[in-house]
Amino acid sequence: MLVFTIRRLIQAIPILFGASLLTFWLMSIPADPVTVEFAGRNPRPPQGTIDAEMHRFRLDESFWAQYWDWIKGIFHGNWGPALDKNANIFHDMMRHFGVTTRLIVLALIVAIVLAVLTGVMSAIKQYSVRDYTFTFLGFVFLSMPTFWIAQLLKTIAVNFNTSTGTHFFGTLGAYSIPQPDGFWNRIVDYAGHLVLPTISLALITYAGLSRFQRASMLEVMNSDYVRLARAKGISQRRVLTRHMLRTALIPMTTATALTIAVFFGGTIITETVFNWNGMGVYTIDAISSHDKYIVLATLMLTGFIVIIGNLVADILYAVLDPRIRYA
Amino acid sequence: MRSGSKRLAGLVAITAATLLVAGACGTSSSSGPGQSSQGWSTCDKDPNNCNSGPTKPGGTMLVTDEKKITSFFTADAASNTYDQAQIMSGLIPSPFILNPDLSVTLNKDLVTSAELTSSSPETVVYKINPNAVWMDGTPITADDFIFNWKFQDGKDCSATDCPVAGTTGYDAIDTVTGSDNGKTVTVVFKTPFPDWQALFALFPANVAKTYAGGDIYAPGGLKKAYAGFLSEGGAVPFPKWSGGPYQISDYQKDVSVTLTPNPKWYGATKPSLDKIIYKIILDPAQETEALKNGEVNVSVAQPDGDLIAAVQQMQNVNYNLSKGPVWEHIDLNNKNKFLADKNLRQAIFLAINRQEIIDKTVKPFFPSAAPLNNHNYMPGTAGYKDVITPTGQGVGDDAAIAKAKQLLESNGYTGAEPGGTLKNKNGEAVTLGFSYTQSNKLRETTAELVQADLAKIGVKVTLVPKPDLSFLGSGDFDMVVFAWVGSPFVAGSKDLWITGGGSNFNKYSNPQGDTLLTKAAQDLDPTQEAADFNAADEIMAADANVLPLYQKPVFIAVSSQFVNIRNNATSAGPAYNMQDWGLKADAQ
Repeated sequence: MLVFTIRRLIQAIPILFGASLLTFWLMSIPADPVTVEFAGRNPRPPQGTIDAEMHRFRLDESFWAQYWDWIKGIFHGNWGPALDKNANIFHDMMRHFGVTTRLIVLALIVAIVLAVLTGVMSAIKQYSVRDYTFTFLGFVFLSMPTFWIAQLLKTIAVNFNTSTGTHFFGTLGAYSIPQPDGFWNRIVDYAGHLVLPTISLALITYAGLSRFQRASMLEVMNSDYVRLARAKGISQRRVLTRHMLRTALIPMTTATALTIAVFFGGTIITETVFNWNGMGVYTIDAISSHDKYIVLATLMLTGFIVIIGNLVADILYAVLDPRIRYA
Repeated sequence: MRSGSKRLAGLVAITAATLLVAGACGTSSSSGPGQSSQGWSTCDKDPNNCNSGPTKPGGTMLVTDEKKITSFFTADAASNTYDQAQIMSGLIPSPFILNPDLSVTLNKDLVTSAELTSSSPETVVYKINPNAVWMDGTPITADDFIFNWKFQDGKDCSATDCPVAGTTGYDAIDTVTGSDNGKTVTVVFKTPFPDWQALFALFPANVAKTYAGGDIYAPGGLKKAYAGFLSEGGAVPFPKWSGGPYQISDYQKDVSVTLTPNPKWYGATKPSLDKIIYKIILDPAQETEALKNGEVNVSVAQPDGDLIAAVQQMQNVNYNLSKGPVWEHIDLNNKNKFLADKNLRQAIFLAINRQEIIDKTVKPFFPSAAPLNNHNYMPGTAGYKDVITPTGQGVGDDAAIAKAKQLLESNGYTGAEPGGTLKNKNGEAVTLGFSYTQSNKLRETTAELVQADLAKIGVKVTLVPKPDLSFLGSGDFDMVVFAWVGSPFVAGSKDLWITGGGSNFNKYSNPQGDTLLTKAAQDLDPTQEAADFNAADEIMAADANVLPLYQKPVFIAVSSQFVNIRNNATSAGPAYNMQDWGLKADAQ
């Protein structure tokens, strides 16, 4: 297993280099940040200022020189210039990464619990009203656009606040500004801001995972060893928890590992609607202002997480399924 | 499980009921599709004084900010944005104020007088208020004027060391000298600069000295001072100085900026609010819900029909839409092989129906929108003169189409009819691209209407959506719609129209116009300046280079518990009188 892990990590290095070159090339195609920033300004900044900014973004260098400077800089902790002259891209990115992590951990827990419960309950009563209900709900949430769920939740919450005269649901950011006084008031405030994005993210995630869980459970239910366990007179509860669920959770575990990887690059809409300063908002703001080196950094981090997510999924497979052994 | 289902059903029912009740309870505080809500009904006629009233001490005002802070040094090109300037208005003193009615008045808190004492050479004398001090108690003196001149003149500090947003005006100064212990400042210009009132938004020289490590004017001193100011928001968490009514007391990167009163503020009106907090909300679409939920009290957003409708439904929120100096226009690239012909340009502008564009874009939520007829001056200001109507451009009715057709045919064009294909005298079919920013629905509609208008004279127009305006500088467009941010200070607009001007993206050129523009930009007499600018504008209008469409509406919505905050459509924004903002005296 250790050899396998090391080998996969070594394989990741050329993949990351390839991804870095591809993304750097792609990011050199649209207009540069200096041209975008100063376009249409009246009065136009002096040409000397524009030239200085071009130089700061290394736009007076060849493509390969820019790429080399960027790669070299990363190894020295410098991820490149940004429109924000005070920016330390890596430091800023990690701060946003932390915010996204806070958001997705709770959403994932809620989604997994819901998915396992509904998936198992659907499978053990296949084609029952309950199964059809969960299937229907799953597809409803799966087919709803994220922005629509988020906006709907937000509207309901704001109407709840205004009609009850309370301020429990926060719709802007991870906490109120100014923050309330007192420890418990702050805890309530954090919770009030966490509820809506968590539900929004959890609903769409649960929907997909529950289908996984249901299919996996159905497959296990029809396997020989489960029939044998039942024939031996083991109780239904014990068969379910000890024999079926344990095996049926394997695909779920790997799916979750991959979902986490996707989440770090894919919570843009939820973060935007609820004004959370996570990776999604950081990335989309950089894209809209053509802040090239920030976009590159976020893409590289997302790529790294996807590689690690895949590796973790593969390792978990081997850990959970005794039939799988990596040479 | 069943009880769970019941609970779910109950929750849905409660939610639905809540929505219905909330909808039923909402009473409009607005006066319909007008310019202002009922509470602000005087804003249309008295923009400088509406929403005035006595304040009571205390309170926190939460204001939206739609851009991240790149640094607090707004003189720097990368940080010279509207949102950052709004925040810094509370700290940076300027000798003049841009008022909501586009007038310019003396900031008597900072200077007791500022007068043009000679026109040859142009000399301006500022008398600084004896009580004016920076937050550390250092008097505001001529040293501050000299420092601000030196780092922005493009000569004493190179563009590499000091990449400022602009050198205009500062590069025209010959000397700045102080007298009366620095409380009198005499500025002598080497070339006339009519917009002298736009100069000297002051950054403190005493702080610059600290950053420079002593003498600002020693070699490298200005560079170090500049770098020091730039580091505010980074290595230095936020500016620790202020010469205005407020100081910055907290900055959470990408989240918020908190202002609290400057204890050394010397102005006549002391701030009454405890705090003003600017909340960074990058997606303007989220501001409406935030306003409704009380998470912000002031929203300054790009208006559209949905926004206005939503705000009209809110209780205890006032709003105003004002016309400002930001104006939408259609540009023709004079270097395009077809558009190089003035006759075609004139025919195109004759065929475009501006009123229809206005009716189908801004008018539904901004009823007073009207065609703009000058390229430099806004209606209601002293220099405004209609230079478009006499040309017949922008009408697009049957008579105008017939005139356009006749103009084209008399110049060798064929096919100038609805459904036809316009061909020039070389037999080439006239096809043009119309560029617009794709995220802007109003511009998309404008492009579609222009496409339909020009089809009436046989011009084939292809719509070219663009992600941003970065293509302007390279001239990679045939026709384009975008906006210029105007100003009561018009001399700078010379660069938009003069041959070789940095912002003359259409590459328009007319030697007679150039002469008039050059003279206008140096006229110290405002009447003469307007006469020369308008003479140049008449020439340009006849040349059909840029067709002004309308003044864009500027929107503000404010919780009704606050007074003395109002719309200001100029670049100064609502923050022009930040010291006056406060909680209404009878607010709960």
